[in-house]
Amino acid sequence: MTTTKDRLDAPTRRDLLRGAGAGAGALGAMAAGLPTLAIAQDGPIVWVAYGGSTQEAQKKTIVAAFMADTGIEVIPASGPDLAKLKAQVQTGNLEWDVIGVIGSQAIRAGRAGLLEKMDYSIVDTADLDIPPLEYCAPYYSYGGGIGYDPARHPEGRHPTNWQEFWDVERFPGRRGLRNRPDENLEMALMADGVAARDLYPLDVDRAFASLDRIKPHVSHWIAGTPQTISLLTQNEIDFVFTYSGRVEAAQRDGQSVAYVYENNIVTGAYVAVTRGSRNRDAAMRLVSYFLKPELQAAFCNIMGYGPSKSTARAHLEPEVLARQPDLQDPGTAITDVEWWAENGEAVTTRFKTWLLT
Amino acid sequence: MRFIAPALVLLVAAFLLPLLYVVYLSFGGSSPSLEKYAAIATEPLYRQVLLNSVYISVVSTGLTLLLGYPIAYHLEAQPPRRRTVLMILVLMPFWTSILVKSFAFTVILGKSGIINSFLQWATGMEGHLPMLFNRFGVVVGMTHFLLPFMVFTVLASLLTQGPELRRAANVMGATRLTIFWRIIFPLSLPGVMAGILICMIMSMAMFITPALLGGRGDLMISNLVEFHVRDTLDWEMASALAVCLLAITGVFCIGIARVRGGQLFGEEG
Amino acid sequence: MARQTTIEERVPSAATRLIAWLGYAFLLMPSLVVLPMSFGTGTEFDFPPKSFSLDLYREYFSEPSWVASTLTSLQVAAASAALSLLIGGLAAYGIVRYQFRGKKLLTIFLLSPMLVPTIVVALALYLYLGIARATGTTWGLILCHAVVCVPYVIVTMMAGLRQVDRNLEIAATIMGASWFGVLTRVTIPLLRPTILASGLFAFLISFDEVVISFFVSGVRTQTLPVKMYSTIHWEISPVLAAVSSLLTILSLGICILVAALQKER
Repeated sequence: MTTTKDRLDAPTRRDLLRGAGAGAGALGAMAAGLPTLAIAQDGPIVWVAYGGSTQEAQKKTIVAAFMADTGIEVIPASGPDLAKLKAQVQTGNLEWDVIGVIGSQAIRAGRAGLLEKMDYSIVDTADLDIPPLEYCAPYYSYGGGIGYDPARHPEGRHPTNWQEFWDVERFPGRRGLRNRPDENLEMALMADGVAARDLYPLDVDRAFASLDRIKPHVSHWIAGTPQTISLLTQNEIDFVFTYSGRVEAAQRDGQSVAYVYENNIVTGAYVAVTRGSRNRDAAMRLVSYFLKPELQAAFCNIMGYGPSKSTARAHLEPEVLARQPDLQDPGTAITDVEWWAENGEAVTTRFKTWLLT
Repeated sequence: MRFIAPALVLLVAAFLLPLLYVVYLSFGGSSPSLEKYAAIATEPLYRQVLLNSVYISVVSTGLTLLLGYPIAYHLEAQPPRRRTVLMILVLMPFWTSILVKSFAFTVILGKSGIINSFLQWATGMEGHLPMLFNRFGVVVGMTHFLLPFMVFTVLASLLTQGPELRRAANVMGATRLTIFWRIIFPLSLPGVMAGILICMIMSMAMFITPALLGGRGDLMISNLVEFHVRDTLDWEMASALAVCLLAITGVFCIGIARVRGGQLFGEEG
Repeated sequence: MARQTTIEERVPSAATRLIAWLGYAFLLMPSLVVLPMSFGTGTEFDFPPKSFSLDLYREYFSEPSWVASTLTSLQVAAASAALSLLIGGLAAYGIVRYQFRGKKLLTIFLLSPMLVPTIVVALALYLYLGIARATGTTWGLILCHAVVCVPYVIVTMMAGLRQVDRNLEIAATIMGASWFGVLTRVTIPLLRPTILASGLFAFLISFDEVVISFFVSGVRTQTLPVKMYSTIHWEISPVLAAVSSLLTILSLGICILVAALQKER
């Protein structure tokens, strides 16, 4: 039995229930073993996210709570590809209801008519540290910063901010950056003396001029996040742009890696609802669970990420709280996803051309 | 004809129609224009990347042939049972995920990797060979992936050669080298050409290996197709790039067909 | 004497043998790195592993989605190999044994999926199956894989068919056998090695295919490569090393068994 098949059957069954009237409907619902008619009408929700241990942790905390409270089944899937989303909406053959997305992509997808507008009468936006957007709601944030191997580069021998990361005289070593402009431009500007709070709108020319200076010292422009850690542990690079969550996972694993929590670039992670979802209301309710402070805290306690709600911090374990990048610290940059939604494509083409030459 | 019908039906339904849609999209879809092709012609990024793709494909295919032909030749000479076992060896890479393989190549080719560590130990010298995150790394990764395809195509054509010609030449006193260059190699050319064609096209279409093992200059056309398909959602641009890629492979095919007297895969029995 | 010359002409020179063995070693090298990794511990890729255990294998077998996607992959690969073997084999038979108008053009068309980059086919097929409401179905995936496998089957089968002595088929026909009888009693038995090889090839291509499957496979029809590929946004689970090693060892075992059986016959 495939999901699509189930989901294709669903509307027919629902129409049938409506047509046959409430009595027959209630009978049908009881036959299906479900407590009430209202819930019986909410078909299983397909929730797609980036997979791995992050999705596993979300499944165990947020999604499990939703399923227990509402009795609505949630089917997890991985690989929230925008191309698949566009094809689904275009052909009207929807597979997904709730999607974990990158903010700038969600804005563009929303404008292209691929996402439902967030229903903020269902989703509570109080106490959000990261601003909610028209088409998606932030539920956690992750910090990007400098990773290194403390065995090879003990205290004082590794850069602790982006100016030092750019200073190849004082901190000689092979650098690793990502093969896309996102975060690189922010780093380059901070290395050039722009304050974290004054980054946006990004001065793209100045950022590329700054990147020119680090270019000869970057031994690899990394394609995948996992490589930021494995290249460090395999001694192929010395200093790398990576994410705190990945470094902490490697540390738990006994690897010799460390992370600088200052001068971080913090980016929000968002959830959105597919345009035209047959389970729109149930999907919005699932999104509202992603924004519940206690559930966010439970998820972040497993993964070490930062909750999007300030009220969730009270529920964090002390050691998780201690490792959160300080959002109030003037050295912390918060990614402006609106800027990236607007300029991302042009800047990416320029960046790829710049890499080739 | 009736034997071909099922294959024809499948390919028209599940290949030709979708492909025509791609061509349709590349010309702007419902609002026809040449805008995307104009962008490809004027934007330096696309030209550079097209050149890159051709260069990397040619080098990888060449290396694959140099390594693959001796393997096929060696396989052909083995008794059947040993040949089966060795053929399994050749197919081994298929079972390992490309992601895992890329990590393995980092371990093998890296500055602190197996080969460099061995060289440092053997020569007692510091320093290392740069083999990873440059074009060399991409070519090694691609060759590894392409090798089985080359070996099997060449092997198939070596196995169709009867022993009679070789035996006759041997009786006439020809040396082993003469037999190879005057009989075996020319007779295996159809297989070699088919192998070159398959490898060329496959390598033009790869995008995971160059991203994981290449340097900053090793962007390939399929990486850009993927970028437009999945990141910018500009499918018209992706389609236009794909049509360019098709055109290049088309040129390859015509070139190879010319060399082989109008036959691409030995269509005529 | 004649026997000796045969052996003499079939033994490749020392240089050829050296290159060939270097080639085998090159092909094997990554697997040799992956194997020890698969006995590591923890949640990250590590080579050489700090300690050895069967943790990753245990994790693989205790996680239903790993086993399920492996089974899906095996199912899809077997079905698309069988399908492409059937229709590709028939097509190759038609091409090699019969003359008809437009044969050359048709042949090139049948082989053309080999010539088109997979990411393009993938997107096109996804849209196409979406319209047909067939995304996420197993049979949709099987059809897509068959499209990719058919050309390889045709190429190898064409080579094999040309090796089969036509006189045997003609003799059987003269003796009164129908074309079907000739096909099943003469041609197919003679072709057995080729059929085996092209079937295996089709199976492996389908089993390894990730780009088309990533688009076309649905929530519950995830193949193994798709499961591996769709989680790498943040991390690569070292379970992948265990999966790869498991498949390598398994295939090695089965193939050696087949080779051993071949000798006994």
